[in-house]
Amino acid sequence: MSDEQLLSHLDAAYNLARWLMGNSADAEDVVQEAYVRALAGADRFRGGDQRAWLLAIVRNACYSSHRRQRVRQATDFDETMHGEDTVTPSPEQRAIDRDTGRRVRLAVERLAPDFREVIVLREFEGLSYKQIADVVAAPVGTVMSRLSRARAQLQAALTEDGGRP
Amino acid sequence: MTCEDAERLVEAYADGELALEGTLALEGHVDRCEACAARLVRVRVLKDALRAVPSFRAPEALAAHVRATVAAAPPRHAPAMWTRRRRWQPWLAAAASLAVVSLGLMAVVRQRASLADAATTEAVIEGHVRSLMAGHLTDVASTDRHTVKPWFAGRVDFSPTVVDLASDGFPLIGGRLDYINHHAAAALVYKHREHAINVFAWPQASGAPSHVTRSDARGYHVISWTRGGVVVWIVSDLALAELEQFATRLDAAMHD
Repeated sequence: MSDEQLLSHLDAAYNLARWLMGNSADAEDVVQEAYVRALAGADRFRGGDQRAWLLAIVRNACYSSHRRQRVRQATDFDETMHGEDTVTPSPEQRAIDRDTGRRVRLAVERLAPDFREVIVLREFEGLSYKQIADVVAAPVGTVMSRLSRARAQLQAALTEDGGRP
Repeated sequence: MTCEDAERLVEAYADGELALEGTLALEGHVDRCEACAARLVRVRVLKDALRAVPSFRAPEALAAHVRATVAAAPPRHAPAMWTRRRRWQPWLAAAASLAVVSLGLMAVVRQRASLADAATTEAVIEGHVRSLMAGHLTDVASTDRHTVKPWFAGRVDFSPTVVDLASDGFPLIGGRLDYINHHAAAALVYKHREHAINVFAWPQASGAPSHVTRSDARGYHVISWTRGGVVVWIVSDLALAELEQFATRLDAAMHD
């Protein structure tokens, strides 16, 4: 495994962190921490899928960060998540919300973390079920059922949204 | 297939995660059942909508910081040749302990390794395209691995592991002799739906670390790894997730 390969996954690492942390400052901190962890534990990487291995480290760093924040501020994971991006929409905001990309983005942000991460890994990062299972440390069957429930929630949210004037 | 089965499988189908048998059964059911066809459309509409969400890209400041972190980390694995020489020649070990010398050399070795990988990527894609264009996919056309494997005896200087992945939806089509980077390679050909997958294998020359690379040039996906002294490169125009699935199955079956 070369450093170039490790660096080539930076955007994927940041994308996952940004989705799980909810803001760019925390996402950047987490990605830096994940690379330090990855380099320190690099000898433990024994072939297999390097991107999935790195994303698992990023995910763990996100969860650790949320745990630390919860202890510090006694805030809940989801409150932290939605602190920045889901403020009460202004009329202008509503106009932008009609844009599909943004509506879908908000719907993904409102998913519970367990559901959000499988959607991000599958739909945005293109990981296979097996790779997602490795990243989130759950059996493939669990990944499939989380994906399915996440999609049902997204479909419901988007149908609701679309019905609004 | 019942609607209950279809409901369970429709997402895996849309995700390209169903094996051939499930794929055919589901397609057959969806052709006949409007409710399940609508279900599939809903999944696809959602997948398309998600595609419209732009990904977050790492800010340049973060990229610079991470590059610095990676550069500052001590080298984790010296290439085998270097390790050997260091063991034999203690004076070289002393020189290597000078950070400047060591880092400079590592940079050169790494750069060479990535250049070699890029060249091999090009070579295997060319091999793949050539095999399709020339209509010369196989020298030995057989779905029987016991026919394909002995065919390579005397043609390549190692005995390639030939596995059949038909039950996973990737039937073996045959084998071919090919040349990648001036050495003979065993080329095994698999199919998934109408897509050909070329698997190139040759013996590992030196103790390169096992690695997986994935490149995407001209719409082809390439995955490679080294295990058990054999270098394996696979190339196809299949969706990356499907090719990864194939790679996982192939690697597992080869080392069963």
